[in-house]
Amino acid sequence: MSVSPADVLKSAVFNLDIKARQYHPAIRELVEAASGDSRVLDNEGFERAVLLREDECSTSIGAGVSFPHARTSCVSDLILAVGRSKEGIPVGDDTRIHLLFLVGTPKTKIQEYLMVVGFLARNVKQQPIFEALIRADSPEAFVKSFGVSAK
Amino acid sequence: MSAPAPDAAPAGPSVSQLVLRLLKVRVWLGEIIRPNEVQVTLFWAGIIGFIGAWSSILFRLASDFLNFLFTQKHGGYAAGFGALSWWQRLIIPAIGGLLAGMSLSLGERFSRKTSSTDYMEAVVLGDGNVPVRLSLIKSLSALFSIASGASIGREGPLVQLSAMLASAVGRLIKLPIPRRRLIVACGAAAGIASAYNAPIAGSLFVAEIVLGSLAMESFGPLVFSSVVATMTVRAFFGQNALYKTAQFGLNSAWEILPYCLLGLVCGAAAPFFLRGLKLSEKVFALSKLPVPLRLAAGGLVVGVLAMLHPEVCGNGYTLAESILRGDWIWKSLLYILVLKLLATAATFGSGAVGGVFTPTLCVGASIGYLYGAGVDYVWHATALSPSALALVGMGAFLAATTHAPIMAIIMIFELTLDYQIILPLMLCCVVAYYTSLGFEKKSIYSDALRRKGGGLFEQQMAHLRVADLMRENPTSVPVTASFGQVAQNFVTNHFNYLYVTDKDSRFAGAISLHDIKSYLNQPEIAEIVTARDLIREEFTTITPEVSLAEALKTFSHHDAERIPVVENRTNQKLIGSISKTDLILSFAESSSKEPAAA
Repeated sequence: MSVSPADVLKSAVFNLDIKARQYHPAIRELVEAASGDSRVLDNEGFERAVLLREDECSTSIGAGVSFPHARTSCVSDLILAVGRSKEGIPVGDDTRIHLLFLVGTPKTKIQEYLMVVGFLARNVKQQPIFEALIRADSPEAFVKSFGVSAK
Repeated sequence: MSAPAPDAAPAGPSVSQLVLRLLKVRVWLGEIIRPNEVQVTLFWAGIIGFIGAWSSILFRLASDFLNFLFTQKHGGYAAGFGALSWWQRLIIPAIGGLLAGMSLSLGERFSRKTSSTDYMEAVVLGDGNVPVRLSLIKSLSALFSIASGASIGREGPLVQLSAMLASAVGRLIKLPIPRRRLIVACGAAAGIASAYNAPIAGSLFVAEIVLGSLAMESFGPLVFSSVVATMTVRAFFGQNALYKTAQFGLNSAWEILPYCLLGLVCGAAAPFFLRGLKLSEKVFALSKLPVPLRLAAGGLVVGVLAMLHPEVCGNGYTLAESILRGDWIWKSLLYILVLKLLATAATFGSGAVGGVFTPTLCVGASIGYLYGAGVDYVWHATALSPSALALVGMGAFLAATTHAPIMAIIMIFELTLDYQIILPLMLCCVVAYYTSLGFEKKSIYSDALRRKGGGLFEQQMAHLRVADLMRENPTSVPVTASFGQVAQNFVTNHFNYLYVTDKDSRFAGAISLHDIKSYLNQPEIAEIVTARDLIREEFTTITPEVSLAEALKTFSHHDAERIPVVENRTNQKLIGSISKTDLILSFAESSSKEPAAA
């Protein structure tokens, strides 16, 4: 495996103020934020793949966090796009998503994908880290909350 | 900002931690042991060896007990008959033959007549099924014949019983046909090994005569089964060699010449022995007697001969052992040999169930001893013992009748555990084999193998397709399956790739255990990931109409033990899987049948 979670976080795309008030538009907003990155080869295809996967089975892990993701040929390398909504995006009756971690991986990189998702999910479920992520006022502070140097 | 506490309300699919732990243990064990299908077959071969050995032990005890009922004597069949009065010697083999024939007739009446009990057929061409009821009937018939002094060997029913039990186990654990055939072959090897206390010869008998191949794919399980069977029998009956002989060896290099000539003699005599057996079969067939009377007539012939000399009774083991001890003068032995040949021909020709292996050894020992007496007369200065030539004659005659010289060499070595004799034995067996080939292309088992369609195997292989070896309905999960379901399937099934299908049952890809094994201790992943997130989409598939040769080529570019079979390239519907082991076994069998077909 060539990349580490720290590498992925440092090269992530951030939108720490998601405007959308619904879940799918919020994902689209995050895909849009990632569209300028050279790793995204086909913006629309990437969005379709993520929404298709989301429709198949929700990627919300509860506790205000979700991991919309897709293994797709529309990205050339593993890409992470982080979104945050202060008010929270309602999903279902009584759940609100505050943090979205959009992950795109090429089809061949199964282990890298599992490594990144596992790292993020494990950390974000810890109360102090979750709160630090909610408080972070910049991408650098966000990355630091994971115990990773932003440099 | 009001964010809920992360630990407050976990959502998403829950995965049993136990399942993940079990899978971690399975991965750990898998990496240490890595059992593939061949190793699993080896395990079952060991089980078959154990079961086969116990069937042999029980059969031997049953035949000894029945013999005691017939003769009221212990201590060997020939000795038991020797202590009987002339009229008892006359009627007991006839009564035994009648009972043997009646059990065959009654048994066949209550069974489907279309099925064959022959283990050779089950291994060579069949589906590895040896019917239980018919096998038991044949074994019961053999029990009556053997216990009443028929001149026939125990190894036939022992092999039959062991192969039948192996076939039953193969069906029980749902082995695919190629491996079920191999397991039946393992049963046969266990039968021979436990009958003669000879594990190497047991493996080689099946490999050389039935399978015609020493390919490790099949030979390994045969060895495994034979060794376990022999160890089990030795634990019960002791570790001694079956034939206790003095140590024989070459006293001078010149002695190799008489041994060489003995090979010629045995090689020339064997075809006549085989023709004699066939002639006897024809004579009994011409009589058109019903089966019970035919076997009774065969028994009566043995009885008449036993009146003259009780040593003709039984499989010839006691006689051969006394020859190896040098207890005979040549004139008496010649007389006994003629009687023994007649008794064996009568028993075999009447259709008694049993083997001719031990009688063959006895005839070989007699020929060798008589030849040795001749050598001693012509070459008085030599220290060459007629008993040594008898021992080598046993092997040479066996090699010439079975056309299996390697098995014969090893068999004699294992029966006597005398390594000193190995050089003349090897030479003599090979000479006898080639000499007999010059007279007769068919071995004692040729007819059986040809009847069982050995020659058809090549034709059948040419027409076999993936569909014929495919296992239907392979284990698969839908693309929406949770990580927990995926893990559960890897725990309950010992494979390294789990197939994934979409909602229309089309093959979507396969999940590799290797890809996920490092993440089994991360329950967080289990809440997010589904089968779709884990599949390798570029996974090789095959269609049912593809030939086995093409399938083998496909496997050469693919590292998995199995390849998924899809209905066709258009709809990609998953209908089965084909195993590399099954394919290789089929080809190993196919290539080994080529000479038999010729």
